[in-house]
Amino acid sequence: MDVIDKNNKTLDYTPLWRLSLNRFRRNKLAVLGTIVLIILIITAIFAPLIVQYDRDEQNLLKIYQKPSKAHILGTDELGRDVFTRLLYGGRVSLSVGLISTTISVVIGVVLGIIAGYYGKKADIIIMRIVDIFMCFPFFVIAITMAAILGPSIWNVMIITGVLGWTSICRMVRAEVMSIKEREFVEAAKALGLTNREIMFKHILPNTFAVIIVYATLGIANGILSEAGLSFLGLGVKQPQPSWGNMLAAAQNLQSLQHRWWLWIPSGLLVFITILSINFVGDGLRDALDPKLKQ
Amino acid sequence: MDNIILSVRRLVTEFKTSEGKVIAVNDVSFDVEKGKVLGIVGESGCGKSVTSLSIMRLVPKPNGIISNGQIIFDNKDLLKLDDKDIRSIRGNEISMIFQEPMTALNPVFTVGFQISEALELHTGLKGENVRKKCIELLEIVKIPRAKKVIDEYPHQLSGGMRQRVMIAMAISCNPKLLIADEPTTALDVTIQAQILDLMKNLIDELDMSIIFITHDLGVISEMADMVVVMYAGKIVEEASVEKIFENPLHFYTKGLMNSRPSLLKKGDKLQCIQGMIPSPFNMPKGCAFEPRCNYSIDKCKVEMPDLLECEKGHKVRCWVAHQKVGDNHER
Amino acid sequence: MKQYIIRRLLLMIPVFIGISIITFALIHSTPGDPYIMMIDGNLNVEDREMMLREIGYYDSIPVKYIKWVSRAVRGDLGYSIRYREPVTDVMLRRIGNTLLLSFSALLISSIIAIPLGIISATKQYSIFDYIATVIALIGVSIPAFFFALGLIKTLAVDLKLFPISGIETIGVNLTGFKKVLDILHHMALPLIVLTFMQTASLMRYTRSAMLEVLQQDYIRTARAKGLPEKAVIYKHALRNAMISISTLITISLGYLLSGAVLTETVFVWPGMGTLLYQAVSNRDYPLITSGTLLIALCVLFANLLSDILYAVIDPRIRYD
Repeated sequence: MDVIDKNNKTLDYTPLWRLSLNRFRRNKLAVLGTIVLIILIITAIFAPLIVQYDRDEQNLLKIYQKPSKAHILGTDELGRDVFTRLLYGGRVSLSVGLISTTISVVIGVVLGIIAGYYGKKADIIIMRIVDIFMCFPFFVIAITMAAILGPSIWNVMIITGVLGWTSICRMVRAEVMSIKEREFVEAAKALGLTNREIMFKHILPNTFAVIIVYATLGIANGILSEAGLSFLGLGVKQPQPSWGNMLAAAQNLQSLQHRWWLWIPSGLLVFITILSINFVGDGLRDALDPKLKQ
Repeated sequence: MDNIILSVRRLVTEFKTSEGKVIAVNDVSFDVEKGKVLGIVGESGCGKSVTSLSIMRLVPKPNGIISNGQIIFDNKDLLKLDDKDIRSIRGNEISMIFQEPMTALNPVFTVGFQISEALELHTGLKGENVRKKCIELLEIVKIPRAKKVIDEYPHQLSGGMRQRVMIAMAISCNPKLLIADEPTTALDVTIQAQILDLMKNLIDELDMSIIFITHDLGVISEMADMVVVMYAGKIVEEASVEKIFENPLHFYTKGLMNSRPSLLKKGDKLQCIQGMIPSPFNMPKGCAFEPRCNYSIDKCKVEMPDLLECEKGHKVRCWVAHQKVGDNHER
Repeated sequence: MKQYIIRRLLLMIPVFIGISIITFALIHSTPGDPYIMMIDGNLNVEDREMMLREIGYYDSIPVKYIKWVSRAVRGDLGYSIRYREPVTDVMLRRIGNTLLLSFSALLISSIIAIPLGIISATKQYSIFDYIATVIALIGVSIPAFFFALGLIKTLAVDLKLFPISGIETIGVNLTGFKKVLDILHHMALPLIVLTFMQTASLMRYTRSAMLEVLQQDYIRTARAKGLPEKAVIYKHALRNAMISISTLITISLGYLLSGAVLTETVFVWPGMGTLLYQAVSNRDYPLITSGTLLIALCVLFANLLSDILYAVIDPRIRYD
């Protein structure tokens, strides 16, 4: 609320982040997405406390068992408990999403700020690199890289991170180009601040809204890529479980047809996670960008 | 009442926002006489633009609602017309010029196309005749090279030129009423003067009434016959232009006058009105201007004054002014 | 306009060279010895060495690259290790299938998504808008291959409405109209997957583009002229929204060409995606290199197309 004092104009503003938070909270889908994600993260972190089996505990006497009291989502081809592996798989999928996005954000933000702030040659070169990366057919390059680097969780993170920074770079660049023209940057220059100080202390904080929204969607992309690569056998390697490589069970026609518990739960989890992230992403975009809000 | 072209009665327009309901126009009534210019003055956010959009029934849906009042134009209540009938009035009998010539024209259509749209819709002109009429209109608004400009896109024209195009579009169907919403605010000073000149000429040549909305009292003194001063969604003063400038009664109007630079009184410091307009969610209980008024009395804090006629043809909404009149009567 | 296109074409050259260098370097830094597979195992050591030298196995990567480029510009993209025939022949057999699938998906989704997006935007916050938005969000969130597997399980395996995979019934030699029907029958499921996902993202995009345009001042001007709401939306608003929508459509074309790898693989659709996946599994380097570059080239041309469309629709773009 703006409170106006009669004689000296004291104005109390609601802080911007509070306004945004209020807007975010009014978006029911975004709140729902947040709750689902929190539950998923908690179950992934505390997996060992929730389940009674070991992740890789095999029981060759009990393979391909239907869901039962002992195994609420049945067992797989080695008699391992599917529910247990799903929770552990969540750790892999969520951390791939987070870490690959961190890689993309670091590359994209640094290059985006440099291109936007310095302009001219730096901009031309960086934007050409962006063009090059944007033309790469993602999955083709990803499977090639995966074949070269070998399937592993770290390689999936690196591949997804290194191939996914372009959109965030373009957005940050555009933001920086418009922020650069504002008075406070002029003021900072007049005060004799170095370019690096201006870029990272004064301009960067003003691009946070864009970065947050794109990073959220980047996490979704990371999880999708992990699932895709692992599904093709080029991502996370067994016995380490991930939602993607558990889905690969469906490549066996028998399992696809008769053993739904092997692939539908992991597919649904990927889907629900991505959906929740998209809900949150939409909510954040509306909350942080008043232009789009009616 | 034959000489009244538009009569607005007790108009209330509200907006639903996520923070709550906002009453943008609160119980506003005024008349526009035939062939005359009514000026509406006020700071941004005082409801003057929403008033004009309400007359056109262009308040953004679904959040904006005209919740009360009548708008009588040509013996019809515009608020009671169905969509089809109001469309046949828009751009035809009542037309509008907006503040931002840079964004008010559609960037992907040529100037000629945008003018001819209204012509074809309302006058039934077709083909070559439309084009001829467009060129004629562009010449009326004094656009050089009209024959060329007609095929150009808005981005190829300067701000002043675009505003001329907007005016040409607005007068294309000989409207009875023209609403000009801050038509010169976004323009350079020299261009402003040219556009005002053009509009004055048009008033003389074409027989139309104008509602001229602005925050600039200088523009009002040049253009208007009658003046309505709005503050926080309400009319606070209403009089002829002479009376307003000779003897402003409301302290807000006085404040506006004092905050204008004057060539005559050199060296004087410019005064400004302290504070800001109240938040629509936190309206004062009494007079909306009271928190910024240096002359307020106790009554101002608790009760909103009515808009009363203090002199003949001079209405004001101010307890202090009302009291003075009362004192005079007693004496 | 001609100059604008030429300039855009010239700009593509350094980008394409960059792509080819990175791809080439990436693929040739792979450990393993695929060349061995090309050579008859019965040769003695000396002959083998000679052959390896001849085909450039010992060259450094830059030398290999230059040799490759000089052959490529003459139309010689090398031999596929797996198929033992020219890479161009292998790719030519497959690219048509990919184009068929992606163009169909793009066409159908545009026809569905744009009107839905417009209605959703003009009726913002209505029940229709709410349902359409949620369905679209589902569409952009569901992993393609999971959706594909679900369709295979329900429609192909359980209900036996469609074939599980491939492009035509094996072992039957159909001709004419029957062959077309057979291909359509095989195409249905992958087409549903690609179309649904493309429709979802295009609808979301159309909706937000329209919402943004509908807030513009010129829309108010159009209404103030007395234009009917249909003309305001389909003429004034849509024409502006189409500027960005057409960009998205052409860019999706590139994306569909490269992004269909998973969908093609799941359905064993004999297109570029499946081909490249198999090439990677077989370490068929000449095929991977050329295939990747071919898709990159398609993406580049799709981007060029979007630039041209942009210039055609938006008069504000200057050609010089």
